Amino acid sequence: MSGGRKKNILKVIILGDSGVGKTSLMQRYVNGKYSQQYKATIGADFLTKEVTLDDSSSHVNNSNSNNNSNNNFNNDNSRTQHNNNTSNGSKTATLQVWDTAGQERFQSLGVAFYRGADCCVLVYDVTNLKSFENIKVWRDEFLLHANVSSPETFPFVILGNKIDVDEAKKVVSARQAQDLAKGLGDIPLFFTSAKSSINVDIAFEEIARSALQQNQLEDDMFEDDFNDAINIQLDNGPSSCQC
Amino acid sequence: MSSGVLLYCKSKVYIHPTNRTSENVPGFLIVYKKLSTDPDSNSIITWCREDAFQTSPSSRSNNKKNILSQLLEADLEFAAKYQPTSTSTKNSYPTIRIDTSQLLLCSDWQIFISSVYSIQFRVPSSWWFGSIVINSKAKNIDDNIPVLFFHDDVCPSTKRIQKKMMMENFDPFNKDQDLYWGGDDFKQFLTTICDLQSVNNASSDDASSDILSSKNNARGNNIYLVNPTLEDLRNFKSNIQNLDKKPASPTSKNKSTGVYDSLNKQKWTILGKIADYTAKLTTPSYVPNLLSSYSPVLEKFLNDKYVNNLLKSSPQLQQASDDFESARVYLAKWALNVKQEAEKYRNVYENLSNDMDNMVTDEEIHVALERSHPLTLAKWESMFDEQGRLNVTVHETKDFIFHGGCENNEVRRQVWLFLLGVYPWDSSKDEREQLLKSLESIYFSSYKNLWFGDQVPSDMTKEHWKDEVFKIDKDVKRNDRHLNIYKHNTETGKLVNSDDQEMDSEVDDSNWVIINPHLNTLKSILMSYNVYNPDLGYCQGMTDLLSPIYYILQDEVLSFWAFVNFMDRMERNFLTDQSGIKEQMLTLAELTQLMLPDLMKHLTECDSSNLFFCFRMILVWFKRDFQDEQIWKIWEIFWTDYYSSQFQLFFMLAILQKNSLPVINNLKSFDDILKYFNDLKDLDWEDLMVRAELLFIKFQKIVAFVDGQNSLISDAPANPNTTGTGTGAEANIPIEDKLTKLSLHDPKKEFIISDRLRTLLSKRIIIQREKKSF
Repeated sequence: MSGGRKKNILKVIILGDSGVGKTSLMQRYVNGKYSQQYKATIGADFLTKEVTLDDSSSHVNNSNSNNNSNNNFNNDNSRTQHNNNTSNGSKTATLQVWDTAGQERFQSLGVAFYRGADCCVLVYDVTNLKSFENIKVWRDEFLLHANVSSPETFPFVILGNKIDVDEAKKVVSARQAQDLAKGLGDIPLFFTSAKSSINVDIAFEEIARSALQQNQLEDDMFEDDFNDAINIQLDNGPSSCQC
Repeated sequence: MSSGVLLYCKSKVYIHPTNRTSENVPGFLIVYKKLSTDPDSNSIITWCREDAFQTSPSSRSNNKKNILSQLLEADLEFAAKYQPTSTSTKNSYPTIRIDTSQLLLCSDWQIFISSVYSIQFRVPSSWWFGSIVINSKAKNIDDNIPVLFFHDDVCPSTKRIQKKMMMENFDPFNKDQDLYWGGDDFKQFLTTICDLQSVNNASSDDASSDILSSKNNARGNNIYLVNPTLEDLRNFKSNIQNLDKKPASPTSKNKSTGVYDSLNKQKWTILGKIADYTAKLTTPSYVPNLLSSYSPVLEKFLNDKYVNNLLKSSPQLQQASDDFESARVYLAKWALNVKQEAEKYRNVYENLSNDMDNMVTDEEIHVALERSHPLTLAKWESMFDEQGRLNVTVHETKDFIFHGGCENNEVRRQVWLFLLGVYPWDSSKDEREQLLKSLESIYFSSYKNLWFGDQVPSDMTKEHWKDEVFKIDKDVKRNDRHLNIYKHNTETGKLVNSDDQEMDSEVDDSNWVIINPHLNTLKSILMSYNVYNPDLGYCQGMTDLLSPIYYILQDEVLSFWAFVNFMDRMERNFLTDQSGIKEQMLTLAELTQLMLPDLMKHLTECDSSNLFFCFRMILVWFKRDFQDEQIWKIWEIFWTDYYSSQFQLFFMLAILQKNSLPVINNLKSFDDILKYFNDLKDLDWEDLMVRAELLFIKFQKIVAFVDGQNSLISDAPANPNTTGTGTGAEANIPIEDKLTKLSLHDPKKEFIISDRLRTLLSKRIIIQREKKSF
């Protein structure tokens, strides 16, 4: 799990208060379906999805906005530009999306699942002020336990979910959310609806991209560490290496 | 030598200390009297193990052997005096002088007749030995008198009487279809030395309309008061008005003979028809055919271990097969029916035996596999006397539930209230009605009324309460919505017309309001529980635990109290510091290390030795991993605490064991393993339950062995001569081999069973409370 880095697996953790729609977002993104009857998540679970990404580190937005239903990001580009997995071309990877329990009581176990994450998704419910206020708490919680190498640059994405509901029921304004995202270090922010499939794919594209960047960054550090004969001990000891 | 008179003696009366037949202990049921100058001196009932007369090679052995042969003779002598038809005439029993000090030495327990309150006679059935339960007046002595089982199939005196009865008055259509059994002559003997007053006769007197049930009482569970006072009788026979007119004797049974007679006439015509049919079957030309075609099979199956086990557990069948050749035909047919079962079982036996490293016996596997007799409503009701008081032991009841579960929700509705401690096991119907009234008023006055109608319970802040209600509301809305009662959000909970359908489909934003009455009740119960246990508060997973209880009971008050009691043991799963659930994970890890070392080695290599992948299953007792019907069975079995109050860990261990090979061969990482166990589908709960039982037995054996071994090691320097001759060690040698094979056992080193593992042997529920957080 934790220290061992597997190439081409991008680990993404979804956090947020109970009932904000973490499971629904994951199901919508990976399986393209929605049900209002997902039970409260207990423990943790994950789903995986193959993605094809532009491997450049720039945040160039491609033609995906009108191609939401497509499972593969940059599908067109990857075909026309590069067919191999070179460092400058498109890259296939497996996105591993982790869904966790929202209730704080389970977090002391949840932290076991944070390690080795490449990106963390913070979700709130636009009709629930408290879940919005807790976004910062979730971020700090994650940084505290995930043991990431450089907390300042670790990628987060914020999702304001359930934007399909009546305006009257929304209690968190777009402005408030933008201010928060900015305040936390220019974190990308998306307004989504798992139920109506609004912005889910776009958001996850950004998530996958951030994760890939982070993964390569860590990979480089891993190589550096590995080449340094003195410092071959990783955070979890030798048994954690699964290569 | 202090001398006395032997008044009665019966051989082959067993106690069953465990549910393994191999551990049944044979002995003598004895009644004797000390010779003394006091004419009122009291008769004593006692029970002595057979082997108590045989073991020690001391100088007393001669005396003991003498007593043994004396008892064996007496057994037959008393049998000769038994009069099948007599119920009241005083037989003259022989009196045999005996050395009472020897009897005292050899007996497990003794009780004066005057201290006996009642004796329950339970006739044998095809699955049970006949047995008696002696209840003493002093409540606390009860534990010392185990249930006595009459093994009629091996008792020489009983067999002699049965043969005699068969010869003298054989009547296949006798209204008393039941065979004579060992308890009958004990009962008859008792009438000669004390006043035995049947408790159940009352019902056959005044409830003649309900012949079946009174017959059931008279046949199945006869309780007799011993030398009862009038008050005793009144307590038991609340329905008898003219008790004083009746002499307190066991002959008051004739009132309803008219009804019995007419019933008998009908029975005769029906039985006559059956007899005609049977006669056709048994004409000479027919029988040899049947016999010749069945006898090879018969011979084969009579040698089959499984069939033999069934035969042994059915004394009547055994008896029939001994006495009537024709019965063998039926037996053969019956054996054919079980042929497939037997073969299936043989494979199962082999697999299970291998999986348990051959550390469990066939007998133990047999007991664990015997799950085909769920508790039926009729059986459950027959376990209660007229006052609605359980008249079998709690242990026996739990044994029944542990090995079969409940047959349907009707019986489940009643059983769960006892299993979950809402009703005490020893309560009467009246007491339960009283209890229900107070439970109802406490529920409303102390809990529900404190929040009902938008109130905030007095000791909570508004914000905190709003938070809790919000969490509860969210989880109730997404709880088990596939079940019929929770499915539709309509005022009736049902879909009546298309308007309802529309309403129902509109409930899709997170702010919809619950109007389904059952979902609302779930919410009410959880809110009331929040007031009941404010320190713990609401925690995800609680809805999963409440939902099946309410589904079965469908009563708010009863479900609340059942849930409260269930939460007593489950609270440790939900503590803020997670200490309770972590403790269980650690226990499970140690248990897995001990029982499935290969798997544990692999899990450690995959960074999964913390067993996080078991978290969900343990937290909500497998609620998310099985179908609803299966969960009901699994939970009611766990609730019995039959072997251990933490049997869920053995069930988890069984899941691990069953999946060991695929895990070891295919899965290489924490993620893979978590995913594999999260997605397990269509688990065979019955097979897992059998394995869980066998794993427990194996675990128990390992602990017993390790303890025995350690005590030998620590004794060794002081008593070098005793090594290897200890009583426990010899029997355990095969286990030693197996332990060595498991590389657990190093003869030079002490292997310690941790305290954590030892808690698994306890049936006492572990209760851990949330500490007040504010």
